Amino acid sequence: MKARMPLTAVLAAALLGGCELVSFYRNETAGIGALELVPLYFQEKQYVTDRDLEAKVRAALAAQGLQHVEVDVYLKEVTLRGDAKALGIVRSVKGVKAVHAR
Amino acid sequence: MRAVLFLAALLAGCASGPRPEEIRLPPGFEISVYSGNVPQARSLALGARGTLFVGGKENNVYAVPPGGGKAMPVAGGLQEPHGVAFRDGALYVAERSRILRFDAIEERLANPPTPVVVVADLPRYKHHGLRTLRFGPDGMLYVPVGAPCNICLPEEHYAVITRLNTNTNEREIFARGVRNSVGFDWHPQTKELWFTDNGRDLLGHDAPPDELNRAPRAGLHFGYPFCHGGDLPDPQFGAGRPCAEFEPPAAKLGAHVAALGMRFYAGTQFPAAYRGAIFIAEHGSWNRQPMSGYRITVVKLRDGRPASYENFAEGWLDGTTAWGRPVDVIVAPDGALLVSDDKAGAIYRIAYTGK
Repeated sequence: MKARMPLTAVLAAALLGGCELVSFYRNETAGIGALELVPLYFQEKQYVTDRDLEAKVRAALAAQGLQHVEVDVYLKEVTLRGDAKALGIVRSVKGVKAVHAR
Repeated sequence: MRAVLFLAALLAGCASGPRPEEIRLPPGFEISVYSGNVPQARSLALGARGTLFVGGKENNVYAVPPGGGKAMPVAGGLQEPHGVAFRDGALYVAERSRILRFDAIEERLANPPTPVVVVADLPRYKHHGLRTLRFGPDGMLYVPVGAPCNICLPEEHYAVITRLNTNTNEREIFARGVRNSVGFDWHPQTKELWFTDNGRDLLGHDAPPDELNRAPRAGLHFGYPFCHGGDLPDPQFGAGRPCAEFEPPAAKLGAHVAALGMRFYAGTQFPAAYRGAIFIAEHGSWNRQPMSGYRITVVKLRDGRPASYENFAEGWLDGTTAWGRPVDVIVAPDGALLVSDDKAGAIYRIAYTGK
Protein backbone atom coordinates (compact mmCIF):
# COMPACT_ATOMS: atom_id res chain seq x y z
CA MET A 1 0.00 0.00 0.00
CA LYS A 2 1.40 3.39 -0.96
CA ALA A 3 2.14 5.88 1.82
CA ARG A 4 0.27 9.10 1.08
CA MET A 5 0.62 12.50 2.68
CA PRO A 6 -2.64 13.89 3.98
CA LEU A 7 -4.18 16.31 1.51
CA THR A 8 -4.09 19.16 4.01
CA ALA A 9 -0.34 18.70 4.48
CA VAL A 10 0.20 18.79 0.73
CA LEU A 11 -1.89 21.95 0.41
CA ALA A 12 -0.15 23.63 3.34
CA ALA A 13 3.28 22.84 1.91
CA ALA A 14 2.23 24.13 -1.50
CA LEU A 15 0.80 27.26 0.07
CA LEU A 16 3.98 28.00 2.02
CA GLY A 17 6.16 27.34 -1.00
CA GLY A 18 3.87 29.42 -3.17
CA CYS A 19 3.99 32.32 -0.74
CA GLU A 20 7.79 32.27 -0.85
CA LEU A 21 7.63 32.28 -4.62
CA VAL A 22 5.14 35.15 -4.73
CA SER A 23 7.21 37.08 -2.19
CA PHE A 24 10.40 36.49 -4.16
CA TYR A 25 8.76 37.62 -7.40
CA ARG A 26 7.31 40.71 -5.76
CA ASN A 27 10.70 41.66 -4.30
CA GLU A 28 12.47 41.10 -7.61
CA THR A 29 9.97 43.21 -9.52
CA ALA A 30 9.28 45.86 -6.85
CA GLY A 31 8.92 49.29 -8.34
CA ILE A 32 9.02 48.11 -11.94
CA GLY A 33 5.28 47.80 -12.25
CA ALA A 34 5.50 44.46 -14.04
CA LEU A 35 2.35 43.16 -12.39
CA GLU A 36 0.36 46.33 -13.00
CA LEU A 37 1.48 47.33 -16.48
CA VAL A 38 -0.17 44.50 -18.40
CA PRO A 39 -3.75 44.99 -17.11
CA LEU A 40 -3.41 48.77 -17.48
CA TYR A 41 -2.32 48.32 -21.09
CA PHE A 42 -5.36 46.19 -21.88
CA GLN A 43 -7.73 48.52 -20.01
CA GLU A 44 -6.51 51.47 -22.03
CA LYS A 45 -6.66 49.43 -25.22
CA GLN A 46 -10.39 48.79 -24.66
CA TYR A 47 -11.11 52.51 -24.72
CA VAL A 48 -8.89 53.22 -27.73
CA THR A 49 -10.31 50.30 -29.73
CA ASP A 50 -13.87 51.42 -29.05
CA ARG A 51 -13.17 55.01 -30.10
CA ASP A 52 -11.56 53.82 -33.35
CA LEU A 53 -14.54 51.57 -33.98
CA GLU A 54 -16.97 54.38 -33.18
CA ALA A 55 -15.27 56.58 -35.78
CA LYS A 56 -15.63 53.81 -38.38
CA VAL A 57 -19.31 53.28 -37.51
CA ARG A 58 -20.07 56.99 -37.73
CA ALA A 59 -18.30 57.22 -41.07
CA ALA A 60 -20.29 54.26 -42.43
CA LEU A 61 -23.56 55.81 -41.26
CA ALA A 62 -22.67 59.25 -42.60
CA ALA A 63 -21.90 57.72 -45.98
CA GLN A 64 -25.53 56.55 -46.09
CA GLY A 65 -26.94 59.88 -44.87
CA LEU A 66 -27.61 58.50 -41.38
CA GLN A 67 -25.38 60.83 -39.38
CA HIS A 68 -28.33 61.64 -37.08
CA VAL A 69 -28.31 58.12 -35.61
CA GLU A 70 -27.05 58.04 -32.01
CA VAL A 71 -24.15 55.65 -31.56
CA ASP A 72 -22.75 54.10 -28.39
CA VAL A 73 -19.80 51.70 -28.55
CA TYR A 74 -18.62 49.68 -25.58
CA LEU A 75 -16.33 46.67 -25.78
CA LYS A 76 -16.98 46.44 -29.52
CA GLU A 77 -20.76 46.21 -29.05
CA VAL A 78 -22.70 48.98 -30.77
CA THR A 79 -26.01 50.38 -29.54
CA LEU A 80 -27.98 52.54 -31.95
CA ARG A 81 -30.94 54.85 -31.62
CA GLY A 82 -32.74 56.67 -34.36
CA ASP A 83 -33.16 54.64 -37.55
CA ALA A 84 -33.72 50.90 -38.09
CA LYS A 85 -31.85 51.05 -41.41
CA ALA A 86 -28.66 51.70 -39.51
CA LEU A 87 -28.58 48.19 -38.03
CA GLY A 88 -27.60 46.45 -41.25
CA ILE A 89 -25.03 49.07 -42.13
CA VAL A 90 -23.31 48.84 -38.76
CA ARG A 91 -23.32 45.03 -38.79
CA SER A 92 -21.12 45.16 -41.86
CA VAL A 93 -18.46 47.36 -40.22
CA LYS A 94 -15.32 45.34 -39.53
CA GLY A 95 -14.61 44.86 -35.84
CA VAL A 96 -18.23 45.18 -34.61
CA LYS A 97 -19.05 42.32 -32.27
CA ALA A 98 -22.80 42.90 -31.88
CA VAL A 99 -25.38 45.55 -32.72
CA HIS A 100 -28.31 46.52 -30.53
CA ALA A 101 -31.19 48.89 -31.16
CA ARG A 102 -32.43 51.02 -28.30
CA MET B 1 -11.21 24.79 -11.79
CA ARG B 2 -8.82 23.18 -9.28
CA ALA B 3 -6.02 25.42 -10.53
CA VAL B 4 -8.20 28.51 -10.05
CA LEU B 5 -9.12 27.44 -6.53
CA PHE B 6 -5.48 26.78 -5.71
CA LEU B 7 -4.41 30.16 -7.05
CA ALA B 8 -7.16 31.86 -5.05
CA ALA B 9 -6.04 30.02 -1.91
CA LEU B 10 -2.44 30.97 -2.61
CA LEU B 11 -3.22 34.66 -3.01
CA ALA B 12 -5.51 34.64 0.01
CA GLY B 13 -2.86 32.85 2.03
CA CYS B 14 -0.26 35.44 1.05
CA ALA B 15 -2.44 38.42 1.97
CA SER B 16 -0.97 40.50 4.73
CA GLY B 17 -2.83 41.78 7.75
CA PRO B 18 -2.51 45.11 9.53
CA ARG B 19 0.73 45.78 11.43
CA PRO B 20 0.11 49.03 13.32
CA GLU B 21 3.19 48.42 15.45
CA GLU B 22 5.30 49.14 12.36
CA ILE B 23 3.85 52.61 11.75
CA ARG B 24 6.01 55.56 12.77
CA LEU B 25 4.26 58.74 13.92
CA PRO B 26 5.27 62.11 15.37
CA PRO B 27 5.72 62.16 19.18
CA GLY B 28 2.47 62.07 21.13
CA PHE B 29 0.47 60.17 18.49
CA GLU B 30 -0.67 56.55 18.66
CA ILE B 31 -2.12 54.21 16.05
CA SER B 32 -4.43 51.25 16.58
CA VAL B 33 -6.63 49.01 14.46
CA TYR B 34 -10.16 50.44 14.34
CA SER B 35 -11.51 47.57 12.26
CA GLY B 36 -9.33 44.68 11.20
CA ASN B 37 -11.20 42.76 8.57
CA VAL B 38 -12.41 45.13 5.87
CA PRO B 39 -11.39 43.60 2.53
CA GLN B 40 -10.19 46.14 -0.04
CA ALA B 41 -11.04 49.08 2.23
CA ARG B 42 -11.13 52.22 0.11
CA SER B 43 -13.13 55.43 0.46
CA LEU B 44 -14.56 56.52 3.83
CA ALA B 45 -17.72 58.35 4.91
CA LEU B 46 -19.23 58.93 8.35
CA GLY B 47 -22.93 58.58 9.06
CA ALA B 48 -24.83 60.99 11.30
CA ARG B 49 -24.79 58.41 14.12
CA GLY B 50 -21.08 57.74 13.79
CA THR B 51 -21.19 54.65 11.58
CA LEU B 52 -18.16 54.49 9.32
CA PHE B 53 -19.00 53.44 5.76
CA VAL B 54 -16.19 51.91 3.74
CA GLY B 55 -16.23 51.57 -0.02
CA GLY B 56 -14.41 48.68 -1.68
CA LYS B 57 -12.62 47.79 -4.89
CA GLU B 58 -14.47 44.54 -5.54
CA ASN B 59 -18.16 44.05 -4.67
CA ASN B 60 -18.99 45.12 -1.11
CA VAL B 61 -19.56 48.22 0.97
CA TYR B 62 -18.99 47.81 4.71
CA ALA B 63 -20.23 49.54 7.85
CA VAL B 64 -18.11 49.80 11.00
CA PRO B 65 -19.96 50.64 14.23
CA PRO B 66 -19.19 53.88 16.10
CA GLY B 67 -15.98 53.48 18.05
CA GLY B 68 -14.74 50.69 15.77
CA GLY B 69 -15.06 46.94 15.76
CA LYS B 70 -16.28 44.33 13.34
CA ALA B 71 -17.20 45.51 9.86
CA MET B 72 -20.44 44.22 8.36
CA PRO B 73 -21.35 44.28 4.69
CA VAL B 74 -24.26 46.60 3.92
CA ALA B 75 -24.19 46.26 0.15
CA GLY B 76 -22.91 43.49 -2.11
CA GLY B 77 -22.83 42.40 -5.71
CA LEU B 78 -21.72 45.83 -6.85
CA GLN B 79 -19.11 46.79 -9.42
CA GLU B 80 -16.08 48.36 -7.72
CA PRO B 81 -18.09 50.42 -5.20
CA HIS B 82 -15.16 52.62 -4.24
CA GLY B 83 -16.98 55.87 -3.52
CA VAL B 84 -19.20 56.51 -0.52
CA ALA B 85 -20.91 59.66 0.76
CA PHE B 86 -23.56 60.32 3.39
CA ARG B 87 -26.31 62.94 3.44
CA ASP B 88 -29.73 63.28 5.10
CA GLY B 89 -29.67 59.74 6.42
CA ALA B 90 -28.80 58.17 3.07
CA LEU B 91 -25.66 56.41 1.94
CA TYR B 92 -24.59 57.18 -1.62
CA VAL B 93 -22.36 54.61 -3.30
CA ALA B 94 -20.46 55.07 -6.55
CA GLU B 95 -19.91 52.08 -8.76
CA ARG B 96 -17.94 52.50 -11.95
CA SER B 97 -20.93 53.64 -14.02
CA ARG B 98 -23.70 54.17 -11.44
CA ILE B 99 -24.44 56.10 -8.29
CA LEU B 100 -26.81 54.37 -5.85
CA ARG B 101 -28.65 55.70 -2.80
CA PHE B 102 -29.49 53.59 0.27
CA ASP B 103 -32.09 55.51 2.28
CA ALA B 104 -32.22 55.56 6.09
CA ILE B 105 -29.20 53.30 6.09
CA GLU B 106 -28.16 53.67 9.72
CA GLU B 107 -31.58 52.48 10.86
CA ARG B 108 -31.32 49.41 8.64
CA LEU B 109 -27.74 48.21 8.78
CA ALA B 110 -28.77 44.60 9.40
CA ASN B 111 -31.36 44.69 6.65
CA PRO B 112 -30.30 47.33 4.13
CA PRO B 113 -32.86 48.70 1.69
CA THR B 114 -32.88 48.12 -2.05
CA PRO B 115 -30.94 51.03 -3.49
CA VAL B 116 -32.35 53.79 -5.65
CA VAL B 117 -30.36 54.36 -8.84
CA VAL B 118 -29.43 58.04 -8.89
CA VAL B 119 -27.12 58.02 -11.93
CA ALA B 120 -26.62 55.21 -14.43
CA ASP B 121 -24.57 56.70 -17.24
CA LEU B 122 -21.09 57.32 -15.90
CA PRO B 123 -18.31 55.97 -18.14
CA ARG B 124 -17.93 52.19 -18.02
CA TYR B 125 -14.22 51.74 -18.66
CA LYS B 126 -12.09 50.21 -15.95
CA HIS B 127 -9.08 52.48 -16.44
CA HIS B 128 -9.32 55.14 -13.72
CA GLY B 129 -12.86 53.88 -13.19
CA LEU B 130 -13.04 54.09 -9.39
CA ARG B 131 -15.35 57.01 -8.54
CA THR B 132 -14.95 59.09 -5.42
CA LEU B 133 -18.04 60.83 -4.02
CA ARG B 134 -18.53 63.73 -1.62
CA PHE B 135 -21.15 66.34 -0.95
CA GLY B 136 -19.90 69.91 -1.13
CA PRO B 137 -20.92 72.84 1.05
CA ASP B 138 -23.20 73.86 -1.84
CA GLY B 139 -25.20 70.64 -1.34
CA MET B 140 -24.03 69.23 -4.68
CA LEU B 141 -22.59 65.73 -5.07
CA TYR B 142 -19.07 65.94 -6.54
CA VAL B 143 -17.85 63.05 -8.72
CA PRO B 144 -14.51 63.05 -10.54
CA VAL B 145 -14.27 61.09 -13.79
CA GLY B 146 -10.66 60.22 -14.56
CA ALA B 147 -8.99 59.92 -17.94
CA PRO B 148 -9.53 56.48 -19.53
CA CYS B 149 -5.81 56.19 -20.21
CA ASN B 150 -2.37 57.15 -18.96
CA ILE B 151 -2.06 60.03 -21.38
CA CYS B 152 -4.55 60.88 -24.13
CA LEU B 153 -6.96 63.59 -25.19
CA PRO B 154 -10.31 62.00 -24.40
CA GLU B 155 -13.86 63.30 -24.90
CA GLU B 156 -14.84 66.20 -22.70
CA HIS B 157 -16.68 64.14 -20.09
CA TYR B 158 -13.38 62.53 -19.03
CA ALA B 159 -10.55 64.04 -16.95
CA VAL B 160 -13.01 66.25 -15.08
CA ILE B 161 -14.65 66.81 -11.74
CA THR B 162 -18.41 66.90 -12.18
CA ARG B 163 -21.11 67.93 -9.72
CA LEU B 164 -24.67 66.76 -9.50
CA ASN B 165 -27.78 68.29 -8.02
CA THR B 166 -29.36 65.19 -6.48
CA ASN B 167 -32.79 66.86 -6.38
CA THR B 168 -32.98 67.77 -10.05
CA ASN B 169 -30.36 65.36 -11.48
CA GLU B 170 -28.75 68.30 -13.28
CA ARG B 171 -25.06 67.78 -13.83
CA GLU B 172 -22.22 70.06 -14.80
CA ILE B 173 -18.47 69.97 -15.17
CA PHE B 174 -16.84 71.83 -12.29
CA ALA B 175 -13.16 71.43 -13.21
CA ARG B 176 -11.28 70.19 -16.29
CA GLY B 177 -7.80 68.90 -16.97
CA VAL B 178 -7.88 66.57 -13.96
CA ARG B 179 -6.21 63.26 -14.82
CA ASN B 180 -7.49 61.18 -11.91
CA SER B 181 -8.59 62.70 -8.63
CA VAL B 182 -9.39 60.23 -5.86
CA GLY B 183 -9.57 62.71 -2.99
CA PHE B 184 -11.00 66.14 -2.35
CA ASP B 185 -12.30 68.34 0.43
CA TRP B 186 -13.40 71.91 1.02
CA HIS B 187 -11.44 74.42 3.06
CA PRO B 188 -13.34 74.78 6.34
CA GLN B 189 -13.31 78.60 6.20
CA THR B 190 -13.15 79.62 2.53
CA LYS B 191 -15.26 76.65 1.30
CA GLU B 192 -12.92 76.35 -1.69
CA LEU B 193 -12.46 72.91 -3.21
CA TRP B 194 -9.02 71.33 -2.86
CA PHE B 195 -8.18 68.03 -4.53
CA THR B 196 -5.36 65.61 -5.21
CA ASP B 197 -4.52 64.53 -8.74
CA ASN B 198 -2.35 61.63 -9.86
CA GLY B 199 0.35 62.57 -12.37
CA ARG B 200 0.91 60.65 -15.59
CA ASP B 201 3.19 57.62 -15.86
CA LEU B 202 6.18 56.86 -18.06
CA LEU B 203 8.01 60.20 -17.84
CA GLY B 204 10.71 58.92 -15.51
CA HIS B 205 10.99 58.14 -11.82
CA ASP B 206 10.96 61.75 -10.64
CA ALA B 207 8.41 63.42 -12.90
CA PRO B 208 5.77 64.61 -13.02
CA PRO B 209 4.71 65.36 -9.44
CA ASP B 210 1.34 64.34 -8.12
CA GLU B 211 -0.65 67.48 -7.43
CA LEU B 212 -2.54 69.17 -4.66
CA ASN B 213 -4.87 71.62 -6.38
CA ARG B 214 -7.13 74.42 -5.30
CA ALA B 215 -10.30 75.27 -7.24
CA PRO B 216 -11.80 78.47 -5.82
CA ARG B 217 -14.44 78.55 -8.56
CA ALA B 218 -15.96 76.45 -11.32
CA GLY B 219 -14.56 76.40 -14.84
CA LEU B 220 -10.82 76.11 -14.19
CA HIS B 221 -8.55 73.82 -16.23
CA PHE B 222 -5.73 72.07 -14.39
CA GLY B 223 -3.59 71.15 -17.37
CA TYR B 224 -4.05 67.47 -18.25
CA PRO B 225 -3.04 66.25 -20.82
CA PHE B 226 -1.16 69.36 -21.97
CA CYS B 227 0.84 70.35 -18.91
CA HIS B 228 1.85 68.54 -15.72
CA GLY B 229 2.71 70.01 -12.34
CA GLY B 230 2.21 73.55 -13.59
CA ASP B 231 5.46 73.75 -15.53
CA LEU B 232 6.13 70.50 -17.40
CA PRO B 233 4.71 70.45 -20.94
CA ASP B 234 3.62 67.00 -22.02
CA PRO B 235 5.98 65.66 -24.73
CA GLN B 236 3.04 64.47 -26.83
CA PHE B 237 0.31 67.04 -26.16
CA GLY B 238 2.14 70.09 -24.81
CA ALA B 239 3.08 71.80 -28.08
CA GLY B 240 1.05 74.92 -28.67
CA ARG B 241 -0.61 74.79 -25.25
CA PRO B 242 1.74 76.62 -22.86
CA CYS B 243 1.53 75.79 -19.17
CA ALA B 244 0.61 79.42 -18.48
CA GLU B 245 -2.86 78.65 -19.91
CA PHE B 246 -3.64 76.35 -17.01
CA GLU B 247 -4.13 76.48 -13.27
CA PRO B 248 -0.88 75.44 -11.51
CA PRO B 249 -1.02 73.13 -8.50
CA ALA B 250 -1.16 74.66 -5.04
CA ALA B 251 1.56 72.18 -4.07
CA LYS B 252 3.66 69.64 -5.91
CA LEU B 253 3.58 66.27 -4.16
CA GLY B 254 5.97 63.38 -4.69
CA ALA B 255 6.22 61.88 -8.16
CA HIS B 256 4.13 58.71 -8.52
CA VAL B 257 3.25 58.57 -4.82
CA ALA B 258 -0.42 58.04 -5.81
CA ALA B 259 -1.93 60.77 -3.65
CA LEU B 260 -5.50 59.59 -3.05
CA GLY B 261 -7.80 60.58 -0.16
CA MET B 262 -7.35 63.98 1.50
CA ARG B 263 -9.12 65.94 4.23
CA PHE B 264 -8.67 69.16 6.08
CA TYR B 265 -8.15 68.54 9.77
CA ALA B 266 -11.17 70.26 11.30
CA GLY B 267 -10.99 68.47 14.66
CA THR B 268 -9.57 69.75 17.94
CA GLN B 269 -7.85 66.63 19.32
CA PHE B 270 -4.57 67.15 17.44
CA PRO B 271 -2.13 69.91 18.47
CA ALA B 272 -2.69 73.39 17.06
CA ALA B 273 -0.02 72.95 14.38
CA TYR B 274 -2.22 70.38 12.64
CA ARG B 275 -5.53 72.26 12.76
CA GLY B 276 -6.58 73.35 9.31
CA ALA B 277 -3.80 71.25 7.74
CA ILE B 278 -4.46 68.76 4.93
CA PHE B 279 -3.84 65.06 5.52
CA ILE B 280 -3.18 63.03 2.38
CA ALA B 281 -3.19 59.24 1.95
CA GLU B 282 -0.44 58.24 -0.45
CA HIS B 283 -1.27 54.79 -1.80
CA GLY B 284 2.25 54.27 -3.10
CA SER B 285 3.98 54.01 -6.44
CA TRP B 286 3.57 51.05 -8.75
CA ASN B 287 6.33 51.69 -11.29
CA ARG B 288 8.91 53.87 -9.60
CA GLN B 289 12.32 52.97 -8.25
CA PRO B 290 12.84 53.45 -5.40
CA MET B 291 9.23 52.85 -4.36
CA SER B 292 7.63 55.93 -2.80
CA GLY B 293 4.45 56.95 -1.01
CA TYR B 294 2.87 54.25 1.18
CA ARG B 295 2.37 56.85 3.91
CA ILE B 296 0.20 59.65 5.26
CA THR B 297 1.56 63.11 4.62
CA VAL B 298 0.44 66.46 5.95
CA VAL B 299 0.40 69.78 4.12
CA LYS B 300 0.31 72.71 6.52
CA LEU B 301 -1.08 76.00 5.26
CA ARG B 302 -0.03 79.55 5.99
CA ASP B 303 -2.25 82.41 4.82
CA GLY B 304 -4.31 79.92 2.88
CA ARG B 305 -1.35 78.57 0.90
CA PRO B 306 0.70 75.37 1.39
CA ALA B 307 3.73 76.12 3.55
CA SER B 308 5.11 72.61 4.15
CA TYR B 309 4.70 69.00 2.97
CA GLU B 310 5.79 66.47 5.59
CA ASN B 311 5.58 62.80 6.49
CA PHE B 312 3.01 62.12 9.17
CA ALA B 313 2.63 58.33 9.29
CA GLU B 314 4.96 55.90 7.53
CA GLY B 315 5.99 52.27 7.76
CA TRP B 316 3.57 50.54 5.37
CA LEU B 317 6.58 50.04 3.08
CA ASP B 318 9.19 47.62 4.41
CA GLY B 319 12.17 47.78 2.09
CA THR B 320 10.77 46.75 -1.25
CA THR B 321 7.67 45.08 0.17
CA ALA B 322 4.53 47.00 1.01
CA TRP B 323 2.36 45.17 3.52
CA GLY B 324 -0.28 47.93 3.43
CA ARG B 325 -1.43 50.83 1.26
CA PRO B 326 -3.33 53.85 2.65
CA VAL B 327 -6.29 54.97 0.56
CA ASP B 328 -8.39 57.49 2.45
CA VAL B 329 -8.45 59.55 5.62
CA ILE B 330 -11.35 61.01 7.56
CA VAL B 331 -11.61 62.91 10.83
CA ALA B 332 -13.71 61.02 13.39
CA PRO B 333 -16.14 62.88 15.66
CA ASP B 334 -13.62 62.67 18.53
CA GLY B 335 -10.92 64.28 16.38
CA ALA B 336 -8.91 61.11 15.70
CA LEU B 337 -7.84 60.42 12.14
CA LEU B 338 -9.19 57.23 10.56
CA VAL B 339 -7.20 55.69 7.71
CA SER B 340 -8.28 52.98 5.26
CA ASP B 341 -5.82 50.41 3.88
CA ASP B 342 -6.90 48.32 0.89
CA LYS B 343 -3.94 45.94 0.99
CA ALA B 344 -4.06 44.96 4.65
CA GLY B 345 -7.87 45.25 4.63
CA ALA B 346 -8.09 47.46 7.69
CA ILE B 347 -9.11 50.78 9.17
CA TYR B 348 -6.64 52.42 11.56
CA ARG B 349 -7.25 55.10 14.16
CA ILE B 350 -4.53 57.67 14.79
CA ALA B 351 -5.06 59.63 18.00
CA TYR B 352 -3.10 62.26 19.88
CA THR B 353 -2.46 61.26 23.46
CA GLY B 354 0.49 63.52 24.21
CA LYS B 355 2.44 60.60 25.67
